[in-house]
Amino acid sequence: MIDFNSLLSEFAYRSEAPMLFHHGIFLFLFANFLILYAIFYTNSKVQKWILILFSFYFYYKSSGNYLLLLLVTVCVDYFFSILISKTTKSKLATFFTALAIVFSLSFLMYFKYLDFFLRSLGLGEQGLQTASIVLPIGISFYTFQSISYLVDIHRKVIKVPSLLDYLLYISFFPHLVAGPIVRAKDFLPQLKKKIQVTREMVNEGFYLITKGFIKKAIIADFIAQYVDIIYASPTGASGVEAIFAVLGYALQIFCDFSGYTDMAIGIALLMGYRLCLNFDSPYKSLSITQFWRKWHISLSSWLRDFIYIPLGGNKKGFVLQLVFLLVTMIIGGFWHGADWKFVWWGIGHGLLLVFHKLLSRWVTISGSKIWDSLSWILTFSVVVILWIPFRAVSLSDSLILFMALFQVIDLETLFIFCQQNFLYVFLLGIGFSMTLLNNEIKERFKAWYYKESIIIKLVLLVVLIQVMYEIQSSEVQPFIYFQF
Amino acid sequence: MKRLIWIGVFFNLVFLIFLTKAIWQPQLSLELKSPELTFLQELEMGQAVEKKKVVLESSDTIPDSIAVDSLQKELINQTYDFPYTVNDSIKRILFVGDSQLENLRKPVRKRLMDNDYQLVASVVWYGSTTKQWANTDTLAYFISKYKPDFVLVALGLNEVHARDFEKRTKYAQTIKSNLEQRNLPYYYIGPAFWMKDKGITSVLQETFGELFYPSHLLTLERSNDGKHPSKDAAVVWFEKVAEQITTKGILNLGSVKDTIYRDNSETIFLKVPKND
Repeated sequence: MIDFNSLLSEFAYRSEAPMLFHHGIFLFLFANFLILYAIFYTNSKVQKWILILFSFYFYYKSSGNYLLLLLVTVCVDYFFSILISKTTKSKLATFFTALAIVFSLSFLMYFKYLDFFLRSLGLGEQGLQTASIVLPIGISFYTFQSISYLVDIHRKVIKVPSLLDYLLYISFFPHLVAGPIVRAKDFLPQLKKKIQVTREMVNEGFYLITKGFIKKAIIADFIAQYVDIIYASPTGASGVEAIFAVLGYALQIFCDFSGYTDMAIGIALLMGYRLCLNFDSPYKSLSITQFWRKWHISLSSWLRDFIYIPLGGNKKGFVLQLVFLLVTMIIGGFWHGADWKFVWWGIGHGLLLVFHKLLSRWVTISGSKIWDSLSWILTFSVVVILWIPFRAVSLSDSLILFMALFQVIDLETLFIFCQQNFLYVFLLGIGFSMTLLNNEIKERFKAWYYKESIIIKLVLLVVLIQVMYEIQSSEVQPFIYFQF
Repeated sequence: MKRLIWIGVFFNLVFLIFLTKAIWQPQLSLELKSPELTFLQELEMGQAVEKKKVVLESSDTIPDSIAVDSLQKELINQTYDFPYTVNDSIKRILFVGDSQLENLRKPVRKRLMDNDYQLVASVVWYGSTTKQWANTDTLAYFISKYKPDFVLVALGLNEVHARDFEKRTKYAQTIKSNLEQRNLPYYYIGPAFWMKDKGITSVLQETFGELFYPSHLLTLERSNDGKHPSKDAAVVWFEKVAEQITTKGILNLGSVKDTIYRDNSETIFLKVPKND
């Protein structure tokens, strides 16, 4: 029978169970929100308010009372944007922009980095007992979004929108808690037009939601169970275990993050909004530079436009360009988390980018298939290896796991492993096939999906949800990038 | 906007299908195995099972206190070359559990030795839950190997989000009956959660009753991972547990000495055996 108490508690905020896109409660709420949203189609103001209120509720389910922090940030940033746009003196406008950015960053610094700085400076073992400071979900994302908005206002790329539009831009729930980092100049113009949800958008939306669901709720969450075991205690991991754990995490983080983004973009399409592409088959990259053009595109382009180019980009000579590149990647690494391991990860990628820039300058590379294959193997290997410190609990654990990769592997052990963990190996294969699949095959599959009737789409979704229930662990596996 | 309404109806339909399933709980389901054990752990257990196939030949070696019914015979016959006997002259304690033992085993050993008990071995099974301890012969194997006459269990930290209470109750009861069938006294140190659990503590408390210590009520300093109690916190933690054990008359752990002891207990890490 239905337990009404626990049913009602599903609607309240619970820190251990934030509302995720693949949860039943979200499905129910979104379905009925969509109906309400459609009913007010003729009144765009009301429609926007319904969307804003639903977004607030979604954020409340993720972060509880930190919704108030979001509201304060939005109001203050909007106020500053009006000041910046109305100021005629450019130095004053720059001052207001800097002040607004400092204001936005101050919350991020306090919630995310204060304890890290205090511990790094040796101020007490536990810093300020910051176990009691809970990181508001998505703060890194919406902070970067508001910074991009303020700078674009200062550069006069966009005009100050109405408060309603700005509220909707920041709080729009598909991208609010884990990206993509949407630029105001891409999103605000959509709010001025009448919402159109075409059949193509619906097909694309459903396709992305289904694809994202498979990646996140089935592949990533299942693989996480094994990866967590090895990374929790890498000492004594055999070569086979280490390789499968390292490959597993590379797939997990991609499927988790890109799966979430796919669902976010798909959900936005169903409401008539188009968000930017965030992943473009990054594991098919032939160089580290190409990887960063395909991985977390919204972040890498933000770093390029608001860190790398303002520092000087390639305008101040080659040597300084390399320095700026390294600094940008360190900031990018640090954005991911308040821990030295993320800084090292950023440095690792920064050095690789610098190396690639140097190599490209001195070596002319021909586009032969052999060279492309070697480039792919090298790029994929370094990216996968650099995920080790990103995931490991400590640098020493990273080294242990890294060294384990070089242990001799015998075929018998490999066979036994595959036999014992058939489903894990199978999903690893499926996951990597999806990521490395030829674009033509992907398009064919997409075309098939678009063609099929709504009944087939319904049956497919039901089967996938059932598969998810069967293989999920009892632990909630939040989106990896939730913690950022 | 009819399209949006139809999409809303579509999602409601999907939701209703699963709500109906949740209420009526039809039998249809796929049995898929999730990789909760590393294959090396399974291989180890498998090897242990294969090597030790000696069947007890005379009932003399079976203590009278164990009921010799067919199930018990099967358990004893199952594989081990160490016939189960109790050594009454020394109090031998076996400590088993999950990764909490990493920091807990040293204060446990110290306190036991202060009170003339002997910690014969600690079995640290990283990532394990009540499921692994119930469904494998790990517990039986180490009991047979070390012949303890008391077992300390510290398990459950990895089940903080567990909601399948029926299954978890079954696992906890299996562990309990595995100990009781061998007439082994035991004490269960509850998991020291860093956050509120979803109900596993209640399951364990109901199963083990008076022989359960509610560690979740303690506020303990955590290690760098934010989850496991730190080394210092583990000392305080076991002090509290020891007080409770002594008060209830389960063991006498009242003495605290300044002596430093040689560590001659064994520690088994279930991933790969490791020298301590």
